[in-house]
Amino acid sequence: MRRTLYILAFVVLISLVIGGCGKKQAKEEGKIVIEVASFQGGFGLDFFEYAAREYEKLHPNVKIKVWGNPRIWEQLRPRFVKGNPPDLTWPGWGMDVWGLVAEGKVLEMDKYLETKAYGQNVKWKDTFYPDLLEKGKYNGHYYIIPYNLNITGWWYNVNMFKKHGWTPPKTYDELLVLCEKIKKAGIAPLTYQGKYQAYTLRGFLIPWAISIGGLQAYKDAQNLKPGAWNSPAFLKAAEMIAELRDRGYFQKGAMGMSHTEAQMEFILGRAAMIPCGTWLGSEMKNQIPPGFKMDFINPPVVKGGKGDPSIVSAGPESWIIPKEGKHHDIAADFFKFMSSIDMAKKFIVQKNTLMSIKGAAEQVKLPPDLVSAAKCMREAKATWDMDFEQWYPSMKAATESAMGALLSGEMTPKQCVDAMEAAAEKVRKDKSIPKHKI
Amino acid sequence: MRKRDQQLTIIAFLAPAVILYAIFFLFPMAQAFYIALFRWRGLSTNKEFVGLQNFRTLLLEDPIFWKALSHNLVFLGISLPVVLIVGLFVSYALSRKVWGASMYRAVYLFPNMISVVAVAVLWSFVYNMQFGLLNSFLKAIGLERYATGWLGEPSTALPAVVVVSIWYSLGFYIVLFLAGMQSIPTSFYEAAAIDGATHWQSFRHVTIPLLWEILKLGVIYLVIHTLNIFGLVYVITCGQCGPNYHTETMLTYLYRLAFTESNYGYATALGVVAFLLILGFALISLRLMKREAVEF
Repeated sequence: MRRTLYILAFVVLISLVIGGCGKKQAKEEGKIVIEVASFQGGFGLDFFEYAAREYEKLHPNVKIKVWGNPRIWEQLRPRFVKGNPPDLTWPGWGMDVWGLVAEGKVLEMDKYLETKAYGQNVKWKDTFYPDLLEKGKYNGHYYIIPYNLNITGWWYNVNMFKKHGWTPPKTYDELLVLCEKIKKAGIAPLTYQGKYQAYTLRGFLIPWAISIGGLQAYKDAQNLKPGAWNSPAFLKAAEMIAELRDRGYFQKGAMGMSHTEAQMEFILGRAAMIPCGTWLGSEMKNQIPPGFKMDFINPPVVKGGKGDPSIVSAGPESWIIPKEGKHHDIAADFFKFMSSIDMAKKFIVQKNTLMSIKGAAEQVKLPPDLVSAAKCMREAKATWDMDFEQWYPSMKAATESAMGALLSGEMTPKQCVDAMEAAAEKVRKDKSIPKHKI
Repeated sequence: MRKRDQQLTIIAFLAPAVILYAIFFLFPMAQAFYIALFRWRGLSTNKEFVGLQNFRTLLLEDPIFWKALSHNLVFLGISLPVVLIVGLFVSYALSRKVWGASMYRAVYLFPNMISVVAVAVLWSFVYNMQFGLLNSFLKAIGLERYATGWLGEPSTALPAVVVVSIWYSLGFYIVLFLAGMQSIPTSFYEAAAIDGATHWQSFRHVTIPLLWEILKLGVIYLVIHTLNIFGLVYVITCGQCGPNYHTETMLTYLYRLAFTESNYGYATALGVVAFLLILGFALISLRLMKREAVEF
């Protein structure tokens, strides 16, 4: 008797499971299924899920499946090789996107960008900050489309500065004076994410090279012009970093810290300033103690330098439509919907970040820690990004490692920039690597 | 007739294993040798044949490879004496029925039961500059001036990881040696004791010769383990593998080349070289440890 009951229960369970699946299948029958694969970083996937549901309401014949994880590029790579990629993807920072473009694996977006945008009476193309859209061009065509936008600079601890009567430094000279005061107060003036030297390249070396030599000095470096990476501007910038290092203004031990460890030091008030992007607030949301206030500044500039002080580091997180995806038109249309001004505004509010879509930030009430960054972006005469790391992945490791060696005191400023130039030289000489210009 | 039947049966039983081995091991390995001859991004099926170019670049023009290899050799060079000396000492002590031996045995094997990733994460907390156990300990005993960011300093990053690697694997060798020692009949030790042998003498003249085959196995295993090390290093000093490649090993370099720099062909060449190196080192250590096996 008991056995029959068990068998009965088992059969019921199985049929429930099968029935459940069958039902779902039936619901999707006759619908076009679009697969959207996204890197799952600090912003999660929920916004894309939300956009998908909204889009399905407008297009009942479409079903959008969103999935993703923090190491998504590892799963996508074999699918690209096999020719079975998703329909739309943000493959994350670990994917060699420009390699994909060069291999002809990415769909050219020109014709879609000419179509009318959602919710505004302009072409889709004209809704983006032009600088950011242009970055995704290859051989004169658009391939990589920007979405949310990270502004990078320095963050300082507002209450700590107020308490001691310090003001955020505008110039390098002010910085030196300020750091001495902070150090005397028993606080580390600056900390950094030592395990990932991309932060220090973006936060110290490149902005200072730009400030000294003008944006052209950095453009030349990105364009692999011989001698650009060890030019006087870069050398001087490296010397400034060495000066801060030798004066003991960097937090001891920062070299071994991951990004979250260093950021913890900052929000716990053991370091006064840190270089980071606008994702900082969202990334540390659960750790930030009540009452903690931080604000954004552009890295202090060098007096008398050629660079415009308003120049800001702005890097979008960008999406692509794989060429071998099955539904180009719908995927492009969904992405257009996702990047519409309404969705962009919602993304800013929900995810506490900025967008590559013009005007979105002005139309919403920004979270307090984004106000200054958004202002910097609005007032910037020009923007820059670390494109070379995406174009030439081998330069990423080489420049970051040289940067680490400079901060740890293993390399002199001269050796550091020479190592970077050597890495550029290697890429320059390698004819098989497609070259980019900015 | 009966013999042939028997052979057929043997073949029938062996075939599935051989086929699976061929599909999942021999074939990919042969394929690796083949891919190493190409320049391939690993993003599409386009490959360009470049002959031995990858190997030439790797061996003649790539200082990072040599640096990485030297780090593997540091792992091997430090682990080998530590594992042999400490491992043998502890397992000998445990085999002599020390009080609580079975508990110790379990304790030594504990690290091995934890996943490499968890071990790596745990130890990166230990080494943490601000709240790490190690620095707190130094502070507690008044040696605060030696506290440092262990994984960030060029001079301490590699040794710090080597220590973890030894901590992680030592238990395995202790258990391996212990198993070997326990299979040595006690009558040998009794005979040695009657002849008036000291502990050291019976260890030197009874245990070591009878354990030789096991020791050989241990050394080969250690060679493979240290030249193949990846997960631990990758997780503890992820990203750049330490400042200025200070903890880069052959396989972390291979991973970076293949998966972030899209240099699959070249990375595969490195894989082939690593394979040959490991094979070479294993053969050399076998050769050096060649000795008449003692039957008992």
